[in-house]
Amino acid sequence: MSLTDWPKERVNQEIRYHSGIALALTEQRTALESALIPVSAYILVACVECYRRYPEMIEEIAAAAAPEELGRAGHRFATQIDNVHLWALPNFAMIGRKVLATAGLVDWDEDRRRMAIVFDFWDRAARAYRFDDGTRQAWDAGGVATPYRAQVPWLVEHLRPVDGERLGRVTRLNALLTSYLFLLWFDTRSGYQDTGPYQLDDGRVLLLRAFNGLGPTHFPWSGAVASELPFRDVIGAFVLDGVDLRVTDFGTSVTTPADYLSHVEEFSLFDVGRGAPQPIDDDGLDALAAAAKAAQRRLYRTIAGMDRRAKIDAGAYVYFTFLRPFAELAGADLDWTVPRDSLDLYPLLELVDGALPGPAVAETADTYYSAIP
Amino acid sequence: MADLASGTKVFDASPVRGTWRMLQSPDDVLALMDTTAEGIVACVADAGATFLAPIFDELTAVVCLSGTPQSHIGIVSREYQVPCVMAAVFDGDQPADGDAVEVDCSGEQGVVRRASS
Repeated sequence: MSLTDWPKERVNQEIRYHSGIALALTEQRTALESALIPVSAYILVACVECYRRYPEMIEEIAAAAAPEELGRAGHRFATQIDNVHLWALPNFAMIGRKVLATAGLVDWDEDRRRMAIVFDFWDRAARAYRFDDGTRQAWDAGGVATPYRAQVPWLVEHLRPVDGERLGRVTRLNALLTSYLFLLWFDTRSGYQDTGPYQLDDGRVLLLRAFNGLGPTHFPWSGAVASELPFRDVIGAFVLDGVDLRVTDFGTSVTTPADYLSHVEEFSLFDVGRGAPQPIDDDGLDALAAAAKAAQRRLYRTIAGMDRRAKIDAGAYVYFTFLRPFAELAGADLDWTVPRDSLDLYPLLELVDGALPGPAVAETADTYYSAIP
Repeated sequence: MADLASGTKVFDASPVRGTWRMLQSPDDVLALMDTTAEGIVACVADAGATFLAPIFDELTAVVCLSGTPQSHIGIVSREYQVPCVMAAVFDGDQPADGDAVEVDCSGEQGVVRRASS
């Protein structure tokens, strides 16, 4: 299915829409630097690659499967078609565009054509992901994203009460998986994704937390450290009482009160990596926590032993492959080598340490992503 | 006890006491991973989630000099239930490594105080 070529005004309309949201989300989250991983540098490398390569890659994906079909695939567990993978498609390209524009390296007519391809694909996939309700992101819906709504009745039937002793077990597992996946995914939150609030009939809310890619994946560093993880993809289902739950387009839950864990009344973990969801018993929770703890320690030593260039390349690979779940579902065989098309700027980009480059004055919703002149 | 620093707390938590350590490199973390990080109040500059990953569950509290509760380190501290102060600003000098401190997230803000050892 071909993608539409958009006029400049429509592209600019879309740029303005994303600009305000991206600025607000970035201000909430702030910088991403880590003393272990040069996050800002790898983001820039990856995003330049995204701007220069995603349009052609997206055209190949769209030729193999309709964007709407790929968006609806996110209603199934473990596809990694989710809030942050969708958010990333236009935003990564626009961050790369922002870097290149700062250096005077954007051809604006070509820019219109390239961004139209990305926006059209994203718009159609995002609308389908959100059940064609008129919204395109959690932001548009006041922090609501409920892609797994059809599975909720079955999941609720398999929840178990949480008492004091079990809360400690659940809390430890949840924290270890969250922390481990941040490390495995090089300080991105794309390995774990929150959705909700799913309103239950009794007034309580359900938070579903997906922990994806726990074991060996296409990440080269995962094979040596993650082979003993007993599950590949799991979903944690938390029933919360007295909590206002919202989720961001980064897939992070924002709760009032902030400490939602003391309000968990029921919880179950489900193996969703082998077809239909299967509840995991408490011995399985403990085994998974122990394996994640051990894998995390091995992985930390591995990353700490990498030089800066290797860390940037690895992180750039994680970011660049946010498009990969769409390609794999579509059956499109693409080149994921990175860095490849950023090598001309690499000596400059790899020096970035801290804030991403931008104007000296404060950003606004109109300037965060600049319109085509 | 005099307040040394304040910032944004990630979640409500009762005061905890521990030993101040400024952690600056992965080698600092590896050294604690190979011994223990129990009783440590870790001070870090950056708000990424990964730097403290293998010792997070042992820490008494975290004080981060940047970021917000939605920064990655804030998210992880919430899940571990480790009290955490973000964007902490000191009124004077920082404590020295080994000093006894209290981290109090029970009020409007997260506060770091010197504690008697």
